[in-house]
Amino acid sequence: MNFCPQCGSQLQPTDASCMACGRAADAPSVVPALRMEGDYPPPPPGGYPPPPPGGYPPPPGGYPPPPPGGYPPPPGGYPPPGGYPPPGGGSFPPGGAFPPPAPGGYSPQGVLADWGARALGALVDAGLIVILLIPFWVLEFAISTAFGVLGDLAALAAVIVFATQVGQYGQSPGMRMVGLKCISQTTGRPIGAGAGVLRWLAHIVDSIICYIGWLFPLWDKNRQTIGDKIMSTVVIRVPQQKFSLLPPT
Amino acid sequence: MNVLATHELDVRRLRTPAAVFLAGGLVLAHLPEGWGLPCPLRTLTGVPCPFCGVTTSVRDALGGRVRAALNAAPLGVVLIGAAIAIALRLIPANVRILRIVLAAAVMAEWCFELHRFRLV
Repeated sequence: MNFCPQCGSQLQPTDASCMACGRAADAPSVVPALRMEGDYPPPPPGGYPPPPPGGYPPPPGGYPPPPPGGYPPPPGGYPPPGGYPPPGGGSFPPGGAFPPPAPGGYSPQGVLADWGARALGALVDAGLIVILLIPFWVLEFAISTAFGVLGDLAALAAVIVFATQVGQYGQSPGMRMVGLKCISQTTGRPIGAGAGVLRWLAHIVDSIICYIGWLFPLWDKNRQTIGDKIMSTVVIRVPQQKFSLLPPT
Repeated sequence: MNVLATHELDVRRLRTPAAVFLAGGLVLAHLPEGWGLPCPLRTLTGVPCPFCGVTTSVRDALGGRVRAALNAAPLGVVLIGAAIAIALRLIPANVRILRIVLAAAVMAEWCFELHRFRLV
């Protein structure tokens, strides 16, 4: 890498002269190629003189003309108007800064939900499924064991519906009631219906080791279960809503 | 892999769970045997998970049968000690634990359980 011996500007290999001061590029260099903090000599007593009114005069012979067709854009192009969006597709909060960390857990998207709130939301959802199962149990006892199988299928369907709601809207009925929302750790948005079902399947890992995975939010920094870690999701606190089986439109 | 990576534990968040854990263990110690959830991994495959036996261990330890507790799962006795220390605020509010130590403890407990169930 070459630098102008007069003003220190960086020179391209094809430059015949410095674009900043016009000095010939092949003049012997007196500026080191790599300068570190502290390498410059101290300024003269009283500091450097201010620039003359109207700025510095152009170099002798003037600046070289731009190449035909103008200068090429930088690699990757210029930034879009308003700057680049944040990584991950999320949005920066209004005001340009995130709120200060809340005591006991914080993510860029909000306050992380504690274990108790998450357990309460899960209990509400489980209670709903039990209520759904009661008529099937009664029919199984009174009429036929086939109703037991039907009840199991109904419970599975209900779990998938809840998991889909969590993926699509971030909330199951229990989560809406308690004030919880499941979002992606990277985008800050719900993960999508299919990913919601996958997250429910990932919770199998939480259960298979004596259910210890469900306790992970007690001590985990991001208050994630193992399933949350697999799917890169977090659960945050949001305002509570009235109970509803379906998400409000 | 950084072998010196640590896990920062906010002990204040664990005080209530520790107290609930101890209270639940004391209740369990006075209930007839058989209470507790079966391990899904052992039920499905016959192979115990690293945390199998902890419920039995906690029940036995808090029922005064420490030797039986250690025979079921040493981790249960360790957890009771940790829960007492956390609930009584005997340890600082923030503790850093080497992740490799945690992993080694879980692996040691798993080996113990695999041996207990005569799989190794």
